[in-house]
Formats: sequence, structure tokens, C-alpha cells
Amino acid sequence: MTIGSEPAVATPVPVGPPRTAYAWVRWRGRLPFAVGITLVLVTIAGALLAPLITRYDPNSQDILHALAPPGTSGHLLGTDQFGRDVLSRLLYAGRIDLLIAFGATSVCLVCGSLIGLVSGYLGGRVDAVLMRVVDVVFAFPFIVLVLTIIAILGPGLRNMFISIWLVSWVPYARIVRGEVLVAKRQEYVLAARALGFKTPRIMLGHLLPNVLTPAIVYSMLDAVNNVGLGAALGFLGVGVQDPQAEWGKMISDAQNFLATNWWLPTIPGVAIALFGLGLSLVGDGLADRLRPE
Amino acid sequence: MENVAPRDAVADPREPDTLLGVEDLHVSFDVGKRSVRAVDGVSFSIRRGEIFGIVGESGCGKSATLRALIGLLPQSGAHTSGRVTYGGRNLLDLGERALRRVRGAEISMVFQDPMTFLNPVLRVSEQIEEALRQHTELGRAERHDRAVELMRLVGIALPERRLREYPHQFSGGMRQRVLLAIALACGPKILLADEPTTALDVTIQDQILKLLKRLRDELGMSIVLVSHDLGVIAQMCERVAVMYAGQVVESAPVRELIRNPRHPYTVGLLSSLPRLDTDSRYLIPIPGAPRSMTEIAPGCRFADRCQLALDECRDWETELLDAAVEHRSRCLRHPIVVRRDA
Repeated sequence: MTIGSEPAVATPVPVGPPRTAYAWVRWRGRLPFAVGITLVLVTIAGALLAPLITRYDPNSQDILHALAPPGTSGHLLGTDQFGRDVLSRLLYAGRIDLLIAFGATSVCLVCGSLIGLVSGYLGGRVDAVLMRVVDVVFAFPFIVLVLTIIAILGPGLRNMFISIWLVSWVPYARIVRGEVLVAKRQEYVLAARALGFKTPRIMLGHLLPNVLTPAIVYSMLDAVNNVGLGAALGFLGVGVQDPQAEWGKMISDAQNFLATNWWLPTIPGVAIALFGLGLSLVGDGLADRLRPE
Repeated sequence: MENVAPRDAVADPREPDTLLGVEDLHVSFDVGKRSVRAVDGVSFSIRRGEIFGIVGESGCGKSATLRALIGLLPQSGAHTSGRVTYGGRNLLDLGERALRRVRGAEISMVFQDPMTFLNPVLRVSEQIEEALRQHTELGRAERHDRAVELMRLVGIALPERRLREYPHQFSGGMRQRVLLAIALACGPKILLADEPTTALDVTIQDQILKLLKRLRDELGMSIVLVSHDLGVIAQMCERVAVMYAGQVVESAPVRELIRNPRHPYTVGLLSSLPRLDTDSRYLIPIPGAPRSMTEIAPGCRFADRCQLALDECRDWETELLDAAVEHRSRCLRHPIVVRRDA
């Protein structure tokens, strides 16, 4: 700034870096979120538009063209040991993995948050009972508990969902309860009571929006975990059953070909990694954007 | 809208204009194993259309009194007894469900700090309209119209636009106006104002007080104004109760109280006010500090800080004595109490 030398002349002096630099700073901040959104959207689009992208049935075998490398005989990503088109399987598998990522996670987010909300707001005996249940579930290693429940219910996609629901709501309940314990002492809760609002209204309308952010951010990481879990269960053979494609199961089916046909386990692995990265970036971006002022 | 207005329009036959009567209100809080008596036998009555002041220093039980009236004390650890008569019913006997119909609709409350009493994640329109949804049968569009009208009423410019904003986009004084708009949404008969201007700077304070007075004149409601600032009370109220250590120590019409205080504590409060009309360069503080509310000692609670105290002041507790017409003082020596600068 020019101060002193030419006092009366008010020329607008540009302060700080020029516009282009600002644009870059703004972009640098938004880039990870944009990349995350893009990765997630591409995954969703691929899964939904699978029939338009590929003409192969993911489960139809063509032994004559088994183990074709990517790009040969009309198979963009090659074929597996049964001659099934890998691209087609990858896209259709995406449907299952998205279902796991969002279906399993959203139910846990909703149920866990509500339980945490009730527990934290009502306190007393309700809180004591609910939190003891949480402690018991927490006391077991996560994967062991999931496997135990699947062992009882039997393998399969539906039972995998049930076991994830039964176990994965717990962190949400803890996170939201902790937030509620702080937020319920806030005076807007007293103000809401002074206006004669009912307890459920105060909890859902006034408290929940204030405490949900950490749970939503956590849910993005949890979705990544659940995809990994789905893959692990598929790999162990207790999740998705043959011939249904699922990324984890594609890796496990391909493990004998790691040395000879490296792309078979690598392609679904890359898909899991990119989708997971996308969800993580979206989670971080949401954490920044949802923070209340 | 359900009407819980007084059936006979008379709460207390001796005082025909009484809208809300408080009799022998006690509030105690459990602190560990001990019990703190925050409000100890408070009685007063609110008349239709008046501004009633409650003044006293921090911790004297003003806010606890106000909150007890509509059952806003913490559900656990607070014990309330006495009678709060409104519309022929004792509010302290009402269940949570019945009390909810009174709160916000018949008796509203505004609070000290407008920063923390507005929900940061809800738009102002949602917060106003929700009060209307709770207590009225208005449709969505009518609620919006009413919200705009309320914003105008409390003096917020560009109401349509500002309704869409969040509390953090409002300044302190504007937030207090929003809080008022919410409190007034359902046309309450009584507005409880708990230090409504304490968190605001002086010029804004004056605007809000004028607004309160204007609203009282336009809407004809009664206001209970709680403040630690006798100056604010003197400017606003018709009648005042002075509270000390959980008790009302003096009650009178405000002019009478200021010209002719009949309790040494009130005298102390008046001498500690800065004045523009005299040359005095010093404020006179009240010596000592209020008694701990857990100590149960006999005698006048102000005796330790009182220059007029006699031995008998420390022996038994004094009732509220009639000092003049409509003027009562909890001081044995009230006839000899005078304003120091008078």
C-alpha cells in the first residue's frame, strides 16, 4: 500500500497475490473434494450404466477365450479363467459393492445416531442400558463378531448385511452420544423447551442437526471399511456367493493367477482402492463444509 | 389454537387485575449431598399489561425464580414448591404435557445471551415458524406471513431476506430481536425476560428496552423483567421486587422504591449506581458478600452487611412488613431507613 508519499490520491492498490493466485488457492482447497466426488460418481455411473458400457453378461463363460489379456479379442480388460469378461464383472460387482458401501452404512448411520441421540439426551437408566450394550459389542473384535453372526445365520449377501448392521451401528451411537452430551447443555435447548416443544422435536429438530456432522464424516470412512469388509468376506467365501461378482471375491477367485495373469487380481484391487480413496476425500471435504459456524 | 386463558379472568380476588400469582415459591438444588436454597419463599403478582421488575445481584435467585414459573429448571436435582397461579391453575402442579401448551403460547421467555439461545444450524425462519407450528393451526404460507410480520414488529429490516439467514449472520442486538420475535410468535400474555440486555452494549441495550416497552404497549402483554441493573429496572418497570439471597426483601412501585427505599439493601443498590445529577465522584459499594446459600443461619440474611443491624436482626427472620401503601420491606428497622444521598 502507498501510505504517506501521495496522501490525497486514492488509487486502488491491489493487495496480496493477484487474482489468478487466488483462483489457485481456492482450487487447491476444493480439488480433493472434487476428485473424491468424481471418483465416487464414476463408480456409481459405471455400476448403473453397466449394460450400456459392456455387451457381455458378467456370468457367461467362454472357455475358449479364457485368460485373455486386456485389450484382446474384444475384451477391454481381458477375461478370467472361465472366459468371463473382466470389465463386465467389474462393473456389475460395483453394484454389489455400492450396495454394501451405502446400504450397510446408511442403516448403521441412522440407527446408531438415533440410539446415541436418545441415550445422550435422556440419560439416566436409558443411557446406562444402551451404553452397556455398546460396550459389549465393542468388547469383541469387529471382524470376529461379524464372522460369528454369519456363521450362525449362514453365508450370503443378505446375512452379510444383517451382520454388518448388528455390529456397525455402535461407533455411531458413541460418537453422537458424546456430541449430544455437550450440545444438550447449550442454551438453545433450554430455549426450545421454553417454547413448549416436545422432547422428540427438540431431539430431532434442534439437537440432531447440531450433532450429526461427525457421524456423517465418520460414515464416509465407515463406507470404505464396509467395502473392505465386504471384500474380505467375499475373499473368505462367506459373503457374496458364486457366480455373483464382487470386487473382493474377484480378487480371491484370481489368487491362483497372481503370477501368470497379474491383471486379474489387480483390476478389482484398483477399483476398491479408487472408490475407497474417493469416499475418504468426500468425507474430509464434508468435514470442512458441514462444520457449523 | 387452544386457549388456556383465565376462565374467570381473576386469579386472586384481592387483586382483580392479577394475571399471574406467585405464592411462597421455594426452589432448592441438590449439590452433592447438600441442598442449596436458591429461592426461599418468594411471592409476587403480575398484573395485566404491566412491566414487573425483579432486581438483585448475581446468584440471588432471580433466574431460578423465573425458570421455576414455567418448569424450566433441570429435571433432576431441582425441587420446587409453592403456588404459581395462572388462569385458575397452579402451574407447578401441571404435567409436562399441559405445561408445554402454556410455554411459548401463553407465557414466553427471552434469555440473556442471544448468541447461545438461537440454534446455530437452523435458519431464522425455521426457528420462528416452528414455534407457530407447535402452538397454532396455521398453514405453511400463513406461518411464513406471520414470521415476516413478526420480524417487522421487532424492527428487523428486509424481513423476507433476513428470514432465510442463519443466526451467525445477525449481530447481537438483531439476534435478541429474533429471539423476541420467536417468543412473541404465538401472542403470549406474559413475557419473561431474563436479563435480556445484559449481553448487549449500551446503545443496543437502550434500543431493545425501548422495543420491549413498545411491544408491551402495542400487544398489551405483561412483562417480567429480571435484571441486576437497577437503572434498567427504573427506566422500564411499574413495580419492582428486590431480591436478596433467595428472598424478596422489598417490593414497591418503582418511583416509590427509588425515592423512598425501605430496605438497607435497596439503599446500597441505589448508592452503588453512577449518577449524572450529582457531583459525587465515587460509587458506594455494599460491604461484604452475600451469604453462602448452603448456610442455614437464623436472622436477617443481610444483617452481616447491614449498618443498621441490631442484635435482634440476627436472632430471627423478619417477615415482609408493610412500610407504606403497596410498599413492603423485610427489614425490622424500615421506618428509619433512608436514601444516603437524599
